[in-house]
Amino acid sequence: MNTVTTVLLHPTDTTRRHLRLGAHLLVMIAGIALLLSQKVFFSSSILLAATLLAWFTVRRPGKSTFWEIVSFAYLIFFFADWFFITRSLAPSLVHLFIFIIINKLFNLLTERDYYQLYLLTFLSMLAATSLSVEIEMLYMIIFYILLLVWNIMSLTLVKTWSRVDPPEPFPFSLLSPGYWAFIGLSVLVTVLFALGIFFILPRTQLGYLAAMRPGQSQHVSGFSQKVTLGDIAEIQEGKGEVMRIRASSSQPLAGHRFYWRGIAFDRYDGKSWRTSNPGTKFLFQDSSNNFYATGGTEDPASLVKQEVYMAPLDSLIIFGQDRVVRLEGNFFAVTRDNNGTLNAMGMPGHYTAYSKLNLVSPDLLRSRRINYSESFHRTYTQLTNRNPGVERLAVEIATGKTSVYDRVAAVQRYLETNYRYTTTDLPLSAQNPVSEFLFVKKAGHCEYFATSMVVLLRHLGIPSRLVNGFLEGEFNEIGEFYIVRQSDAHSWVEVYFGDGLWLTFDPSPREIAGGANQSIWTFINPRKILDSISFFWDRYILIFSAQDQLDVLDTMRERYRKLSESLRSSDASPESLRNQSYRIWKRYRRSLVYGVVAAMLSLVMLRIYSIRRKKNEVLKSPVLFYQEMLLLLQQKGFSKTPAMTPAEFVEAVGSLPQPAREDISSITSLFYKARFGNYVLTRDDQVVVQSALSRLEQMK
Amino acid sequence: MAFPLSFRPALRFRFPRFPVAVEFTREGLVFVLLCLAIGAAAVNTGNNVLYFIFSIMLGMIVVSGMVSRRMLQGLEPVIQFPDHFFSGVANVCYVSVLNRKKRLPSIAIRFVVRDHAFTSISRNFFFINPGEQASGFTKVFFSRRGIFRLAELELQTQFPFSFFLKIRRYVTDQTVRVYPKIYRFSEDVFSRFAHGVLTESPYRGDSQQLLHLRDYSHLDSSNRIHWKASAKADKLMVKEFQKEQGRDLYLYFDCFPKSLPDETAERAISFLASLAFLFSERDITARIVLADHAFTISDTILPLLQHLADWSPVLPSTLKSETPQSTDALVLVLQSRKVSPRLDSVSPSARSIYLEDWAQLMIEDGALHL
Repeated sequence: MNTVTTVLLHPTDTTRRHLRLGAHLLVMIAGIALLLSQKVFFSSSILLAATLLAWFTVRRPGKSTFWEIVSFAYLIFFFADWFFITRSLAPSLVHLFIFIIINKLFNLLTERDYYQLYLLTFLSMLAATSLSVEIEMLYMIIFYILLLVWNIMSLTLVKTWSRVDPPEPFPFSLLSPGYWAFIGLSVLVTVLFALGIFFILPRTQLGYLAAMRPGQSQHVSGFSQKVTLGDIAEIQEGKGEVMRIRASSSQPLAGHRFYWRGIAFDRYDGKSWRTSNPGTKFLFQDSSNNFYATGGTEDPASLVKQEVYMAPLDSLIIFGQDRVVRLEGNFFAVTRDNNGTLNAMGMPGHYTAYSKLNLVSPDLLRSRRINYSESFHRTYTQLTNRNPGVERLAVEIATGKTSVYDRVAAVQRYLETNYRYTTTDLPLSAQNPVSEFLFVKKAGHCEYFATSMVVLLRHLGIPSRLVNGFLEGEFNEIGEFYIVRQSDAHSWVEVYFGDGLWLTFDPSPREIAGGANQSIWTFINPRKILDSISFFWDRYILIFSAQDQLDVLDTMRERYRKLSESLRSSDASPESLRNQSYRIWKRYRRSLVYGVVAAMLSLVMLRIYSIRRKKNEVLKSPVLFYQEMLLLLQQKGFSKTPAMTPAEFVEAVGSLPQPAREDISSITSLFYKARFGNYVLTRDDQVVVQSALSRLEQMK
Repeated sequence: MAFPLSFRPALRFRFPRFPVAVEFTREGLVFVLLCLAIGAAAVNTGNNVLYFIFSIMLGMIVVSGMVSRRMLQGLEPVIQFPDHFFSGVANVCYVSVLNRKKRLPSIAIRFVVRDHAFTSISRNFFFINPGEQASGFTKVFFSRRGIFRLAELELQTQFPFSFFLKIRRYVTDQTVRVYPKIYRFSEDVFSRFAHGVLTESPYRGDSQQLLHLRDYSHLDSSNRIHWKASAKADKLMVKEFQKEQGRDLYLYFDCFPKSLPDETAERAISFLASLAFLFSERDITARIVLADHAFTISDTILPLLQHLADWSPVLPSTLKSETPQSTDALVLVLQSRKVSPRLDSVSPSARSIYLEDWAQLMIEDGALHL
């Protein structure tokens, strides 16, 4: 028997239909993946349409002369496509490839056809993933793997089953939940192994995919060398994602508000800000792609580490919490201007910034001596036109405040409490937007608040500047990262307190965003879960590099060293053990809770499965279900003696109510048939037995 | 693509509990080559997506190994041969596989016995429920007679992905005795044999074979009158019948080759066995003489077949050939024109039966195999 052709001749129509359905779904997924890549829109649409057409029109696949003619005709078209239509080999090859898939779809006959189709779809998926690295591609990969495993496994089953002689009925449906559960489990185990292999495989390149970043760059005008009041507001109207940041530190960060500093300006001409004298300096770079903004003497434990994953922006500004002291990234070079703005040459998609938080207590600031040069003072108190009204207001606010800090705080508090935040109905005066904001509208957005504060401070002779950046963003508790969107664009103020210390002040009356308020509902928020998956895909798959592997090894080695040291050095006193346990609990509590919950859920599900399986066994086995009945009746006070036959026992329980007698009689009858008559219980019989047993159980 | 056994790439992994041999299928080769290509591309480009896909493919290989190994676990194969095996024809044997696992079924299991002596035995079992046994019959074909020792059984599976054929081997120790090929002669061949070989008896008797016609005597029964001949001869003629075959029939084997193996000798042994079977079927008592062994064929030829299964047609150095006891015994000597006779003349009345003559006759006749 020619085994190549038996696959579709032997199976039942249902099984063959399921196999065809699986193949068609596989092609659909590949087509959708190509569509999502946004590069082969027309061809992938044709493929999807052809898939649907093949499913609904083809009844009995078979090699036909028609397709041979079509294939020959396409061969001619291919050359026409190559030389005259697209005039390029690559797109014409893509068209040819898609034609081959469509041809195969309409001619699925033998097992070899199926395998070839699987291979073609696999190559399509490969092409799609090379054209796009969006998170949607991960979902497509997962669906594809699930379907591919189902298809290959089902084809293997059908192939083997068709060789059984004599033929026997296919024992289960290829769409049954149990079979799908097995497929799902296989895929899950495959992915788990794959992740382990992925992390272990040595990398020969650093694996950055900066060149692969998809989509078009977002335009952000508020971060150019000159910005006009309103530019930030324009950015805030956008909803696009700008970057994702994971911040970590050995110091507690709860309650800290992150300002991702971008660009600072020192010169205000009444309507726009710019940098008067950039004074660009290159940051020192070492051999490990570290760029140092200071002398490199900072204690690493005191720094806040920020892993920044950038979406394409048309700006080369490096964002980070003030004050960035070190950068790690695949930059060609990094420069810094006199306002502390960091610019990149060759912006990668990902970098790490280390910042030292300027946490100084108000008392220290009050007592601090602030010295600066004349030129410095001139630069940072520059005003094109001094406004008497503004000056009066500034003096009024600062009345009674002796220290610079108190004056600055007073101005901030005044603006926060006396003005309304709005992104509409803005002071649009062409003459003096700040005056209109301060005295007329008394409402505006962050640019007006910040500009006004700088203007007021400069009228008081306090050096200050405007900073544009992003305010914190939305915190994702699941992945522990911030999603910074265009709507988070913000302006704030930096004030000089001597010895190179610039402190951040934000006069805008906005509520603190995000925060690490974790509740159980956070973890089942679908949007946050999807964001986390997307972050995981970017961080641990797309950008995973050899350095990450080394970092993981270092971290594991460090943790092991600390644990063994602490165990060696700790005493055995109960208090010490309690402290240690508390520390371990505090560090790993989430993982422990997840683990315990998962284990309990697994146990519960296993128990339910075991009970249902046992129930099924009881129902299927004549001996077991009859024994189950005897046990129930024994509990009710009706025991069968060994000398009694089942029929005699039915007579013996004649005192029971009629419904119970009928149940016992029907169970006994089925028992006789199954036990001695080689009768196989049907599903209806099982239902009868189950309901009879339930009624007997409830019988009083 | 199926590689011949001699150079099929087989990987043997020694696991703590039982070894599993792995052979590549065509699909598996393609998969592995694709895997290597993607791995090379990933290493070359540093593209993490390609690393991810490569990892998934490797993960599939790992899962495939785990699942197929689980399928092969807890299985007990059994093969039962019938009592009598004949070479040259399809024999039937009984195979069964018991699944001792408590929860997991075994899917797509193939029971295989591979041996150079016979075509492989194989039987597919699609689904073996936990705790149950699947069984069935399968054909086996031995090309040669002999005693064969079966050393190994195999259970194979391609589940789940058909990329690899996983094989678990079971040691067994079973002996199979295969008898020579038996040719079943048609009536036409038999009648020729009977006419040319089993000569008519010259003695009168009560068989149904006409011996001659003679004149009627007053002692003859009127039933024996041959009326047609009597009318022609114009006198009463009676039929005289032959004596029943009461002659001893001896069949000597004289196709001893100079060296072994020898195809002529093998064919002669098969022909001898076929004749013995024929005699047994026709209730013809015969004595088969094989150099130093002799068998009487009456209603069973089993001892002869069992002896012929592994009999080596070598003339012993001390020949103790049996001589016919009665002088009117019918003595036949099976010989071949390609092999020189080795026996001395066993009887003056011995007649030679040449293998080549009957071989051609059987080919023309399309002699049926047993």
